[in-house]
Amino acid sequence: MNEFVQEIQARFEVLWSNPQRPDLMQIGVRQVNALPLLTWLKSNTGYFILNHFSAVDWIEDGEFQLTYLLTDYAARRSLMVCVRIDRAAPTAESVHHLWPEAVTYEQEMFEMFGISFPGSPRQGVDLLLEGWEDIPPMRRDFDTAAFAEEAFGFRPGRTHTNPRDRVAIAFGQKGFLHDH
Amino acid sequence: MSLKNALAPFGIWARALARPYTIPVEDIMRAPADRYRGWHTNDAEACIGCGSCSDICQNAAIDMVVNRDATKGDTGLRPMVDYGRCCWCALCVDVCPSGSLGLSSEYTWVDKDPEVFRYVPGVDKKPWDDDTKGWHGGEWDLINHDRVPMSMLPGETRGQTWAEVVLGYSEEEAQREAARCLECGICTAACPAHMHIPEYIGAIRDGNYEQAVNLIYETNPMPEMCGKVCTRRCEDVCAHAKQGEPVAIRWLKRFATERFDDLREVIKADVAPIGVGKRVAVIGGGPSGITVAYYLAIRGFEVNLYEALPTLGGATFFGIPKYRFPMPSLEKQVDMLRGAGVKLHVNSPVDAALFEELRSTHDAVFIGAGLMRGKAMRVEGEDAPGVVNALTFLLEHHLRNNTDSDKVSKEPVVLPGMKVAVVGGGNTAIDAARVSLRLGASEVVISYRRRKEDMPADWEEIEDAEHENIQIDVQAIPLRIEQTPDGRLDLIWGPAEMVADKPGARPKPVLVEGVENHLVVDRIIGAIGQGPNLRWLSPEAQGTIADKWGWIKVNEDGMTGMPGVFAGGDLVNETADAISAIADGLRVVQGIPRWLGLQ
Amino acid sequence: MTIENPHVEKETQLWVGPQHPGVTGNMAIQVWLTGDTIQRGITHVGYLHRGFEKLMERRKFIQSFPIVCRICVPEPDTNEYLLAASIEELGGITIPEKAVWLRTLVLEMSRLASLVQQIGGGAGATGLGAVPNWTYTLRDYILDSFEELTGGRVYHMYMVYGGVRRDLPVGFAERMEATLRKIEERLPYIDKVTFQSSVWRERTQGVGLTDPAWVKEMGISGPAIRAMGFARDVRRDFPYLAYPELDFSVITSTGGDIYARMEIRRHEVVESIKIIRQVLQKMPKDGPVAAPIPNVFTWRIPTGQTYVRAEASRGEMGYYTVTDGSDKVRRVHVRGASYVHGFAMAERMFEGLNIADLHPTLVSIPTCPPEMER
Repeated sequence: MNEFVQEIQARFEVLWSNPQRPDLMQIGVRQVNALPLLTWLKSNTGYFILNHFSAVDWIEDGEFQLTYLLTDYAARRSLMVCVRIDRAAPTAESVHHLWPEAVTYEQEMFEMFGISFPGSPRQGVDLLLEGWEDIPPMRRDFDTAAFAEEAFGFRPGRTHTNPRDRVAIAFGQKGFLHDH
Repeated sequence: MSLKNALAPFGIWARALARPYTIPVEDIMRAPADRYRGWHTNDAEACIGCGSCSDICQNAAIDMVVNRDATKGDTGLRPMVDYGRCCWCALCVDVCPSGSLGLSSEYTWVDKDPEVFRYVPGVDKKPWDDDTKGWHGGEWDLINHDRVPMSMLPGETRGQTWAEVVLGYSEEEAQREAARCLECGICTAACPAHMHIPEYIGAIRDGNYEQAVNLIYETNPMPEMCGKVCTRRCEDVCAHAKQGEPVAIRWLKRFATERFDDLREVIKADVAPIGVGKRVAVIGGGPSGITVAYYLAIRGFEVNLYEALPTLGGATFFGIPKYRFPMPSLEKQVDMLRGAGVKLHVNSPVDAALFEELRSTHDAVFIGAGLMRGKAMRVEGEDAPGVVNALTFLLEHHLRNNTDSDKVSKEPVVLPGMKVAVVGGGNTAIDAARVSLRLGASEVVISYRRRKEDMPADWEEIEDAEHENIQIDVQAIPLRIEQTPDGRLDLIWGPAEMVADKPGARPKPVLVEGVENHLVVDRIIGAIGQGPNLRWLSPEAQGTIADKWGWIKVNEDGMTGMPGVFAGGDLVNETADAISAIADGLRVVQGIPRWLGLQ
Repeated sequence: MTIENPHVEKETQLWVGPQHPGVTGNMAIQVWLTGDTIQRGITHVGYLHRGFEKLMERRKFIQSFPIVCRICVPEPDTNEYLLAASIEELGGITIPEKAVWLRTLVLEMSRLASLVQQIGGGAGATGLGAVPNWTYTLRDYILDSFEELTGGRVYHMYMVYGGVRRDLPVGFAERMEATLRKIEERLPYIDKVTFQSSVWRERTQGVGLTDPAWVKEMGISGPAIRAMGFARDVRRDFPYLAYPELDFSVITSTGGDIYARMEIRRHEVVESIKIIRQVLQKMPKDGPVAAPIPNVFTWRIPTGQTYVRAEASRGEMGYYTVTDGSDKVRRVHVRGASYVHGFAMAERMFEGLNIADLHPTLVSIPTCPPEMER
């Protein structure tokens, strides 16, 4: 597996690699290298199947991560290609011309993360949400709890007492190092 | 298309005469499987209201509602399940530390009113309350019942050394143990000082040790002492203790304070200097006195602390052996007092005249003098040479070894090769026995009136003593002590029978008449308790603040019958442990400013 | 003589679903027809999107179990397994031997229940009402076993991090064997009305085809790809749990049509029964069913990411799980087999299909909207 990473390294810059399992290698590449690498993998290696394609929001880094999982069934191994893209202007190159199935993945990522894949056929077409006006809901800064509270709420008459608070109040827990 | 294939579908007509494939309705109305997850049940008496069920519920279906008064060991809350949200995953059952919550196998319940599908199991009676089928805890639980074991010196060899027996947790062990905490806070009720236990354990788990010790110092100025020798009532009520081993709260506190060699830079007090210009005298440098002195000093009070012995610590100095609570640990806590600006007067016993002087020169006086009189065994022959009181024995031992006091003989009472008997079953008895062993005693026997499970000593101390090959004779009532012709002592005792006493009380030992056993030893140490001794006060002052036995009565601010004179510690409370003394001190820390009109 | 149809050039737009008995769940197909021939079609989902992936980001690791099982009604256990396996891999938990076998057992039981159900669905979509009656009954017998083993019929919530929640009840193997026999007895009758019936063959052979060269490069899996001669099976290619120790065949066919896909399922029922018998026989009798795990309220897992997969009845199911050192997941992406089958592959198959063959085709792939939407 490591030899294969070196083979990739010879052609494209590999930022990091992590042998997660004997059958799963993870590598990180720059965004500019992503499409050339995927094209090369599909045409020249056993990794021509796209099993899975998804995004992760690393909001604290100001980046999204795109994760492509390619599988070589003959060798029974998978390669996870991770690409970080700018979260402020999230645009990535579409791979739908390599794998038509990617259209749905890209459509969903546009809807759920706000990542656009110019040229992909169904960008902006509703997949799961209809009439959604809030920020893309799979972004980390979308507050599902607040949304649920507003949209659904609790049934009336529910009260909850925190056990810790009840004990603290009942027994007069205090602190003497700080004025409270 | 073959004829065979064309006719194939008609083959199923062979079924026409077979038994119907569908199931008769009577068969469908079968009993649910034994583990079926149906409506909740709860043993409301066993439930402790810790709220773990409510915390684990990912649907927010469980509310903790007030059902009864909060007590030590029970928040008084009980879970109420909203079946509009419940998905019957039974994670609530799997995390229930008391094992009280369960799911019955009953799942049919029809009602027109949706509001009834929200009830407090075990409190709102249901037909399935006693269903033993369904999903119940015990078989497999989501919570880890076992605590991270503490490393100790090996029992066989440690009897020959004064080194600290308990070695303390490593960082990894402490974090792993801290992570067991369910954060219910039930422990805080049982702690006399109501320490912020879940909070500091959480800080330890997250590696925020500075935050942890600051949280600890909110209510405890002697945490390293408590971290090593506390009676830890908190652990008795820990939710984990219901079915497994409680979180090692004491060892975690010890771990946090031991992270820092000097706490003066770490502890960051932020309190208003309400006491500037006011003077407080503290009599007694034990836990209660240290508490009052420290928390008043950081509030700007001028505090003078008077201690009769050459060093502070009170009973935690002269009572607790150094293999449990070493001197550097104590010094560290005294340094905090110095850092707070408390003026320490050691070797300064207070007498009636000085007491009056302190009252006139200070705005308030606090008495935390402790119990300095060892109780007699009240058996014939106990004044024989070689019979000593545990209090005297331990006091002299610690003065001899840890101070330059010239008031004690250089010769210990217990000499190498002696056989020693200790009468009693409390922590003092265990301490006297283990100190005797370390002084070189060849054989040490603890003789106790009741059963081992009745011993007031900490169970871990009892185990430690046994690991050091100290023999424990139980149900042994001392009858008299005789001197043998060769100058040894014969402790004559009779076996006891345990007789049930009033409900809730421990069974009583009753002497089996007519049997006499002999235990021939070189030294007998009586460790059956301590009492107050206020003879250093004038009789008038004693009469004003104390009852005829010398116990001091105080009001809710900790003030005695004498205005401006406060008291706390073992003289006031009956529990006679350090953390209760600290709690008394905390009461006075609020009481003195209130009495002086500073709040 | 032929009568000219004046409307033949006109294109009709038709919505099939989301409320349609022939569609596998709540999804809709928008088709454009000329006559009764589909020119093109688009899959529409979103009718039961519950945001499970997002909900998991807001919950402690253990709290995701009641969620993930709801991603797939016929096969909740694959989801439970994949969540458990991915978190165990990232959190460094090893499960005991007994749990390995118990997990294999429920995974195969759920595959069997689902395969049986799909055979009924496939027959039902071609108008054979008797077969679904039989197969749903058979599935219910399997659900009885699930109830007995896990405490739940449909959503089992049986697996947890560290292993499983309960050991086998006494006498389980015998009762399971009785159910397996019931299924075996029923199979010949199913064969008679479907696979051996010339009517049903006419209806399903050569229908719902697609280009094997195209399929080869897509993430298509399960019976859909095995019907085109590719012997891809996660249980064989990326062995997990006790599968390496079990004897079973990967069934393939070359028809690539509805018939081939259904036939594979028919044979996989037999393989599945074989596996369950082996598991019950080879399973260790004693030993713990779960390893201790950290306090579920405070468990934190270091930063990491992984992709684990398992063979569901519909094909490869995968969980892409990312942790970030906190007590919750950073991201879980549930990759169901239908995600590719229901969009890219189905839409390709629609072209040129007769409208009457739409449902048998969809059911044969199959598509499962809950795992397309999560």
